[in-house]
Amino acid sequence: MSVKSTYIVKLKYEPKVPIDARNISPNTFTGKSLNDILKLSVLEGGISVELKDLFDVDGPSNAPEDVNSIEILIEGFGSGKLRYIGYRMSGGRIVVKGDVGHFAGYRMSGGSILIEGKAGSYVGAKMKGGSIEVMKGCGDCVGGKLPGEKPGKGMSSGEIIIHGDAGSQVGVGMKGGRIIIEGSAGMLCGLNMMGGTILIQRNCDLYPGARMTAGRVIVGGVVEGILPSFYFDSIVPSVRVGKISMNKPFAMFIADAIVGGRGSVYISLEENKSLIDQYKDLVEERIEVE
Amino acid sequence: MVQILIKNGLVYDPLNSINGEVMDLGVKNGKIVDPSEVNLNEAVVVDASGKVVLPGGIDIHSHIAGPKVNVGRLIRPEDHYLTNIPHKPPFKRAETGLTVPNVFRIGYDYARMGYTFVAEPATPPLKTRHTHEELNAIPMIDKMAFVLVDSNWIVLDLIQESRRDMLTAYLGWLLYATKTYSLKIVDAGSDAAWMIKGEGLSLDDQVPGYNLTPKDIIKAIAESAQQLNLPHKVHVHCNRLGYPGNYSITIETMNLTKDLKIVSEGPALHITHVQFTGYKGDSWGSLESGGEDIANVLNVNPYVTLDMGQVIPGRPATTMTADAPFEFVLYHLTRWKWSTTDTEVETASGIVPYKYKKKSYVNTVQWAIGLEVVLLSKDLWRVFLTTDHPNGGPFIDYPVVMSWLMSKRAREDFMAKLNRKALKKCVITSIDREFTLYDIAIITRASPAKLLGLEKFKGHLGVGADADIAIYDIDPRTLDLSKDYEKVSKAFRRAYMTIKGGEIIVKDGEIVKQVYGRTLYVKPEIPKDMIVEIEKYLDSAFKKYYSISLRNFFIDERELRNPMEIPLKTSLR
Ligand SMILES: [Zn+2]
Repeated sequence: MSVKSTYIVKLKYEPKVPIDARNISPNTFTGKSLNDILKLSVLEGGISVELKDLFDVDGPSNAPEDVNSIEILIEGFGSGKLRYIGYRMSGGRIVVKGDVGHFAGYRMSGGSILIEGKAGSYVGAKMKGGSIEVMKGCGDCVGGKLPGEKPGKGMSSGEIIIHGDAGSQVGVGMKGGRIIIEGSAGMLCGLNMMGGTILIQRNCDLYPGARMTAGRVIVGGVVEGILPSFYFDSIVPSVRVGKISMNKPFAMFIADAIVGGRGSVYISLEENKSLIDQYKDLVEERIEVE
Repeated sequence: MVQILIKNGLVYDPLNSINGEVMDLGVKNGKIVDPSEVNLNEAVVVDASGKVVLPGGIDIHSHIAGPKVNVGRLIRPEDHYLTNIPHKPPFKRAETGLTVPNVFRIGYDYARMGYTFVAEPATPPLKTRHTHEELNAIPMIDKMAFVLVDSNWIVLDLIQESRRDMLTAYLGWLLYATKTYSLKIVDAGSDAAWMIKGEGLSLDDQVPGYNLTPKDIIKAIAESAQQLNLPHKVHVHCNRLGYPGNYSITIETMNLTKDLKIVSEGPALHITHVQFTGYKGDSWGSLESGGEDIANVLNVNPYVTLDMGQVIPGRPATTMTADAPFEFVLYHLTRWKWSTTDTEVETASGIVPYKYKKKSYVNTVQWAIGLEVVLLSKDLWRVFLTTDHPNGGPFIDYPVVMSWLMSKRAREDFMAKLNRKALKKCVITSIDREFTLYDIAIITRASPAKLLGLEKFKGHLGVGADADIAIYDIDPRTLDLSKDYEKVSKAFRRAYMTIKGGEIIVKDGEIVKQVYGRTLYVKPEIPKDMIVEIEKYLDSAFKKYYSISLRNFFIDERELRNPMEIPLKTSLR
């Protein structure tokens, strides 16, 4: 393993407006001298300023050519206003010692991002690889596509782990990769999904897997409601996602008939007895529960 | 107001038969004056030597305002977030959107291309208040709107009852009430049929609930337009648009002029975006171009005009039309997203995003049709350049279309990227014609002004005309327009200078001043007793049909930012 070059990027003051910090990424730092890094542009509320106007940067005077050996630590009060952290990064590591704004890891293709606080919406939107870990909750559209785009334009590979709750539309339009939410998720998770896996370990609001055509959505807790356009498939004794295995029975549905989909939605049986009874009445289908 | 002296420009002004003469132009008080009248002590002197000077461009068909445009913006966020240009103080507003731009970009981009006048070709009467709100917000250009009348129940009732004078009076009243300029027919009667039976109509099908065919509707409305003496008579989107084999319906519609009682001068029918209704063959697989056939009919019928509706392969488009049955079909071909609306009593509409592909067989035939019709037409005063923005492509691609018209080489280079099988069936490959700058000035300036009946003060550079002038940095004396077509389209995309109403608004392709143009509408003269009669009739018709009252329908002049009323002498007695 090569030696890591660590840069500490610290906010000088608490920003009052959103900051487009897409240039804070190992890819823009590589091969640049510290002076050049300080001159990188940042948008403060739409006005272009230099990195040094907003941040103190501490690190080696010359950044290595290899992206993978760069680590960036972002700290300071008000980091929740920083958007587009790690935009299009292909390697290296970013650690945010606090919250972060929208679009963290947008279009990233490699490397890793660790956020020690909360994240905004669109964490890992359209990402193609690498990993993102958020220690607290996050906003909407984790790993999603942008509004208006076709299904399948969301995340295509890589992994996102949220150790708290997530907002609505987790993995909207995703095509591949894995999203793990350790807490609960909002409405319409897996909307327009075309592949990949979403695991919600706790509860989930209305209609997971709406309009999905492929992939898996697994909910370990209570589901507020599922769509009538799902087919019931079978009861499975346990579900495994990577190294995580959930050893309890799940009801498996094929989703979503309204778009001719063949995706699968797994819903924990114990937590959702009444919902599955309701569904049984709705489709007049016999669901055997031992 | 500034005075301007444009020196030594190479002037093309077809309405005054000026074909590339070096001359000076004077501008004073927003009008064109004799250069000797300009006071050189206060005037801005523009050196236009080696540059081409044209009247400001006029676009007769571009969907720039109204409810469907706004819905197009709403359902296409992806059209906007990657195309932003931030605002620039002190006056320049933010621009967004490619196929459905925001109001500011519409005005700015037209001005950058040297266009100063645009007509919005379809507004449902009930929603025209919204259309005017949007037109009011579009800077830089003069504008007007055409009102949709073909599936309007009141119109259908009056035609059915053969109350022709009442129909004429109603249409005249409607034009004034909605502050619009001309009548628009979209797929005559189809929206009425669509709401009742879920079907479109061919020319001789019966409109459900009425003893009428689309032919009857087109004829009745066209004759009322004659009686009203409208400057621009009727704007017709033909039936069965977008269906293979529809070119015969288009030709039949064009031939309807033979049965019309023609009382006032000028063309009687304008067939719009003819490309979409010029398909030969009986299925998508066997589609062929009907461009040549349509051009042949056009050449022998002096009462018909038409515009291209050119498609731009390789560019995204957003189709939006009052032809709801067609959009229903298109949505099921694309299966992505759409929006459809029923405007009570009057019309319907649909909006579907679409992308014309270079390698597609069908899209290649479509590309050929628009160009064939124009290149094969003998009378350039009756053809017009449009892309039916944003249906065939965005209006910012007009310069590319101009280069296709002006250069065989441009066409050949582009054809190399298109579908070969389709091109084998199109005559475009064998057409050698290349338009001159004079020809381009006709189809984008002079003939649109004439078609809209504005040739007295728009579309030319004679003394007394509005000072709407475009200067382009090309010199046909030193540049081979056919060979260097890319330079030509670049020059037309970013005008060297655009002058609107006597003010310099664009310099070197950049906006330097924001102005607001006028909105033109007609006021046909209707005898008093007929007004009383029609208002009495409408009062009960509104109670029967509409969810709003007659009083709230009428749009007041004060609701327009800069209204310009065109009074009309009619033959109603
Ligand atoms: Zn149109």
